[in-house]
Amino acid sequence: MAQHRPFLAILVACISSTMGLAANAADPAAIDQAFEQLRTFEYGQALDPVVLIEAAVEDASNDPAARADLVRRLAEVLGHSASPVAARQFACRMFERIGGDDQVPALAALLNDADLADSARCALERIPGDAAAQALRNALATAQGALLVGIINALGERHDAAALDAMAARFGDGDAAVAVAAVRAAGKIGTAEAVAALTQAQSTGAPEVAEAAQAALLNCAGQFAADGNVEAAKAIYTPMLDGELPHVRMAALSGLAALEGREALPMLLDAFSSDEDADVRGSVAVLLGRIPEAAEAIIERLPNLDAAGRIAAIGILADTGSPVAKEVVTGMVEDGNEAVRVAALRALATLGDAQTVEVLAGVAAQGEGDVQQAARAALARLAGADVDVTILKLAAESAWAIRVECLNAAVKRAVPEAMPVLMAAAQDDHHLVRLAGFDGVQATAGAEQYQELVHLLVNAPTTADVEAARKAVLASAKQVEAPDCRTKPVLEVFGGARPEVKIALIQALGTYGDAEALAAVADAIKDPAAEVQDAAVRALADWPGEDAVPLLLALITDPANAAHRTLALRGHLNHVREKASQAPDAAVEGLQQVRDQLTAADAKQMALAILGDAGTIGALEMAASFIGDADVAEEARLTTFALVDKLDAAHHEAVKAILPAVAEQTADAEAARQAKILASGDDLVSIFDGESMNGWMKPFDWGEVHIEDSAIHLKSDRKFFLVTEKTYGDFVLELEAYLDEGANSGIQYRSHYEQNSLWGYQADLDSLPRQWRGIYDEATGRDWLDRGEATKAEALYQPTWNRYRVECDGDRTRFFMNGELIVDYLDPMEIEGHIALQHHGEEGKVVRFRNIRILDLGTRGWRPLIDEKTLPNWVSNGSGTWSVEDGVITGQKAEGGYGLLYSPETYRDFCIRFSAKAIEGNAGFYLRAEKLPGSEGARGLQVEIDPAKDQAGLFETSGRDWVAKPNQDVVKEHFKPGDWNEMAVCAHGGRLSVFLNGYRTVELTDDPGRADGYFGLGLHSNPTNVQFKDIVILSH
Amino acid sequence: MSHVRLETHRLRGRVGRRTFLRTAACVSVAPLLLPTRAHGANDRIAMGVIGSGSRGVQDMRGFLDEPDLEVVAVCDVQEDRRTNTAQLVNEHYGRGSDAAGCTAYRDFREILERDDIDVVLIAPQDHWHAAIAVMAAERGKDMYCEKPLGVSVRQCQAIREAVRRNAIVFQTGTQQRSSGNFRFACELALNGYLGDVHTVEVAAPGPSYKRKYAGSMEPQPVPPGLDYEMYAGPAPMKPFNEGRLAWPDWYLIYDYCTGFIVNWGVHHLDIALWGCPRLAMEPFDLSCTADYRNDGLCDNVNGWQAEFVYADGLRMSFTDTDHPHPQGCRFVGTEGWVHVNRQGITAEPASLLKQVIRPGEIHLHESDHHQHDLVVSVKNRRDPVAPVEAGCRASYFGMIADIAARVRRPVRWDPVVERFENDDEANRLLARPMRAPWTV
Repeated sequence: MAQHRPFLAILVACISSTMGLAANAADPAAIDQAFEQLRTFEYGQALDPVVLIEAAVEDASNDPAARADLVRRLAEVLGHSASPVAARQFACRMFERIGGDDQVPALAALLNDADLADSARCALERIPGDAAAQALRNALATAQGALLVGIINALGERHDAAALDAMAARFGDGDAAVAVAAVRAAGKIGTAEAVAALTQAQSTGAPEVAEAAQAALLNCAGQFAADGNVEAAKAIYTPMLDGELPHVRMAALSGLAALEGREALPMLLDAFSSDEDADVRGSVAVLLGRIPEAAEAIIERLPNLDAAGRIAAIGILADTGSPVAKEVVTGMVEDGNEAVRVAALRALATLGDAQTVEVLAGVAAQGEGDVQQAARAALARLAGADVDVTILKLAAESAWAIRVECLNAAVKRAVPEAMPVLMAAAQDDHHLVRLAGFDGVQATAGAEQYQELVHLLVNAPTTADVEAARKAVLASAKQVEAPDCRTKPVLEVFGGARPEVKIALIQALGTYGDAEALAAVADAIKDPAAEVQDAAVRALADWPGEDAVPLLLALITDPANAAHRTLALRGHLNHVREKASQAPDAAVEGLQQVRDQLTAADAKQMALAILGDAGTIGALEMAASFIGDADVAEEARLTTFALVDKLDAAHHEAVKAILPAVAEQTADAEAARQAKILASGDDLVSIFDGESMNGWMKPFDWGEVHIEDSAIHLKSDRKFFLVTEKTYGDFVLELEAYLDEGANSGIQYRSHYEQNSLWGYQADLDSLPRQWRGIYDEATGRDWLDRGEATKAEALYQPTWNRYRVECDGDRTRFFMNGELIVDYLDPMEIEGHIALQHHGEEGKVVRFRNIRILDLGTRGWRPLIDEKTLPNWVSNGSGTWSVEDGVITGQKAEGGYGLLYSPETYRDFCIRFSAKAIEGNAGFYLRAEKLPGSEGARGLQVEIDPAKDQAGLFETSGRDWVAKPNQDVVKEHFKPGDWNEMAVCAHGGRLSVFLNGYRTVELTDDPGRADGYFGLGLHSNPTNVQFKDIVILSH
Repeated sequence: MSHVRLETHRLRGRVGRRTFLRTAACVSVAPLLLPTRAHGANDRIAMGVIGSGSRGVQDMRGFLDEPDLEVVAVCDVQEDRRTNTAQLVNEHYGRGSDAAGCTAYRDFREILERDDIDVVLIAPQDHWHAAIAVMAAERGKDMYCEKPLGVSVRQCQAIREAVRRNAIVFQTGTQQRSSGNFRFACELALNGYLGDVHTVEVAAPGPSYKRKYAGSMEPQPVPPGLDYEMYAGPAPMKPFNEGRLAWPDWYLIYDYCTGFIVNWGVHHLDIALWGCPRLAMEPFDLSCTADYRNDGLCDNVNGWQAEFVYADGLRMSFTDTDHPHPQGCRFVGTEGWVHVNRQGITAEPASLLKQVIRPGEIHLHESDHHQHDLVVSVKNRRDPVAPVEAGCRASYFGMIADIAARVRRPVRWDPVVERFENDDEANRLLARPMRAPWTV
């Protein structure tokens, strides 16, 4: 294609190589297959056959033979009555584009088919030639209802003049839809005969027919006008000038105005003066503006116009641009009505010239509000010769207020040669002129003005001048290329300057940041004036780069001035923060340098934020050192544990070494416990004495147990377990195990037993590379919960003794092998039970355990979050009604918005369970939600509750919408629509798991959403009827 | 078809439109020539919202703070959308959520029939834009109509003609025109600051949009509260499936729109034509290659590369983002270029960005709020910043590129008659029939 356009060839090459687009035609076999599929194509099937055939049709655009073949094959599908409707509709759609006379009979026949009539009609609408038109006309006689309307529409779209009589005959059809369609079609046909019929219908038809006829006539008139048939168009428009509906009059006026040009003036003036509708008059004003002669006529009428009329008149005068218009509109700047004054000023932006400058500047100087704004805008936009010259002249010499306006206008207009006038103004006697001058210089200054501006700054008479001059100096300095050309002029005047000027100069030096500037500012710390000293310290705190750090460190430890210490410390921390992620060790070191000076709470908070970003062991050590500090205990705890989570896997020993101190110092029981678990090792207590089975039992009728070399040996040809007498909830367990090759085993925890059976969680131990080293739920039906890092576990495995550790804390289990974490799993189901050791029943294989030690951390419980007693503390918002009976909370809403029931308190990390039953309408259980006012209700995650679908997904209201759709396999298998469903959520920081009847539907590992907030029950549909019960939260 | 017709139609006489210009200033001592009517506190522009999905509501929010306008009706084929939106409106006006101020309709024709409604906001799916806009024009409603102006060139033209022959004030939802950066980039190009503009490069997102609905394509029961017959409207009727309702899924289905080459392309094409009007006024050769989706129900254009070449060598290159052009519109002239998108504006030389457009130079219509601009325009009966001609052309430029890709050959466009030269097959693609009873 298009070899004569090289860029296109390159483009095509680029497309096919980079995007792999289907530029080439499909091969014949694929097309054959697509047609084969099309023969049985139904809605719901993949679109492959229709997409491929459509592409083949397009590919054949330049290959008539191939195209003819495709038409033939599509015709076959269409003609075959056994073809599915979807396939035949597709064939019709293709024939819209490529059908010809040959397809007309088949399509015409389908006009009697209930499913395909409209598709066939669409194809006939687009097939050129009289055969298709004739087929449509023929069908008029028998078609009814929507099909008849469709045929009428098609003939209209075809501008089928031969169908006009048939259309006209339908104008009185008993079916209003048919009559109106016929009228519209006649409007599109647009012949003289059509106009005659429509005119008749307009006056004698039913109301809806008459109105449609009016619209259709306007359509005819538009076509006549476009074709140059002026008289015919006018004949339609003219009677409509008297139309009842304002928009019809507007249409007629604007149609006639376009046809008649200047001749339309009397008509338009008449309408402008006498039409009763303001919008019509407004439209007419726009039309009048296109006729130059309108200006004088409008000026004559001005005295008789009300304010709205005068505003419209100003528009007309502005549009005509007539020379008299300028004078008249200038006069209207004095109008008694403010809206008129504003309109006049706006119009002067285009009508005005150099003579208008003084008027506008005068209004700008004295006016207020909209009037002043309009004058200023006009002054900025005024065009024409000598406007700039006049503005500069007035800026140099006139009343001060006018000068200010003209100085501002000169800047806005970017007037060339304005700088001398602006610089002169900056030295004027009037303070407001000076400020306008400085502002202008600041906006436009170059390097050339720098020296002079520094001197103006030194000599600035007032504080306001100093500030304005300083800004101008800085703007100009940006244009100075050589750094010493910036600093030197400042240093030359620095010593002799008065304090407020010195402060401004120090601020300038601070932005320059070079060594000479730094020396001067360092000296200024010793300036006799305290305010100069302060400015110097501030400048050092904000100093660009690292050069000022030694000075800051000195200031931070200087006992003389507390305010300076604070400023310097903040500056130093800002520096440190900048490098926290790039150079974390340097950042931590920078904090250590000032550790003793971190006494203010905000400084400590900032340090902790920096430590969190730095993310090193050093950062963890330092963050932990704040954990007993009451000022920042909460921030320190969050930062410390975030760092622990981040660093534990890679630096387990180092992290472990830091944690005992954390456990000791923190005031937060949960944190202490977490630290204790993470650090535990030496404090574990043996639960196997190496000699006896004291404390253990074997509730199975089979299986051999004996002790050898201080190790338990298990042997069996059937699965059995050795069970602790005691139960455990939260704990840390360590043991060593040695499995014969081929054997499988496991550490059961929180498990339960009966004689010869046992069920519950199992940390799976295995001797083979088959990915059996995760968390398994034994004999409950749930099977594998988390297979963990199987490859890592395989690499760690030794075919002899291996060390295992299980940490169970609330809803979280961590499983370690030879010191490395292999599974980290959240589960809300079981919180207490026995520990047990498994033999999986491999005949002849021995499984050995030794050094079994535990740290017992007690058991948590499920505490009701909401019940009859606590319901009154929950806060209802929106239009839901809430009741509780026999432990079942019912939320109902008839209509209107949402209904919400919020918890009285907020929650950050938790494990929560509840049962929900959606009887009608959509609902949700909100987590970490924020209360929003007004119609939005809540922002935050909700666990989806629905009578039919997506149960237990996570949706973020007023945020990201769907964050996670539920695992559809789980929903399909375990969701009980319309019945009670047991839901659970484990939430720890960005880790969120959602469960439906015990099975996980959503797992997020690093969700960036809200960290804490309210629980809430939410009703979303109209109407909604949803019940909740057994809402419990895992607690100590 | 249930033709909606209110009995009051004939009774309303000549009291159809509000009287805007009659403000407090009417209490004038000057003799009055113009007839006046009493006007009350409710003499504000009344707006009806047609299509209150997320885009429609977003557009509507831009009108809610207009003191001279009041949203009095909303319409959507989805029940919860229309009731929630009506409630939102009532709460915004401080009326309480169940007040009667804003009525919710299922059928847009009921809004068009209301004589007290002056302006309609049209924001349903693209396949509906033309049918609704043409009917609205014939009922004398001023409009804010979402882009693109239909799903075929014929539909864009039908809106344009209906708007003009009925003297309607019409704002196209190409809201980039109400943003200073876009206006400034165009003014730089129009005023010669780039030298002679010889190349315009335009790119808009396409392939980066993926369907959201991932479930089965099987026909599904129509959900309660959805009028699916009205949803399908002028598009072919196919069995309901959630994927036809989801967004951006419907934006990827040819039945409901042309595809991102138009849906997103229209925005930056509009800027291209604003800053370089010759692109739309002179004949050009057009070549386009594209690939098409086959992903669930999605079947319209995916990525595209189009070239528009003019007699004197001016050319516009229009692609999906980063293949190769960056998203936005770039005007390239003999003395520099400017590139603009919603993220910002860049230029070479960079000093162009400090250029002040001087008095007497071309200043484009200044609007910094697309909705407010329409309100002002409705009052003074002038064209807003994105008039119907601009909306029509910007919409169909992407459509004719899609057609050029579908006929697999270069085509030539005549901008006066708005047809391809000597290419019946391409011309046949300029219109798409509408399912009965709908038409333009």
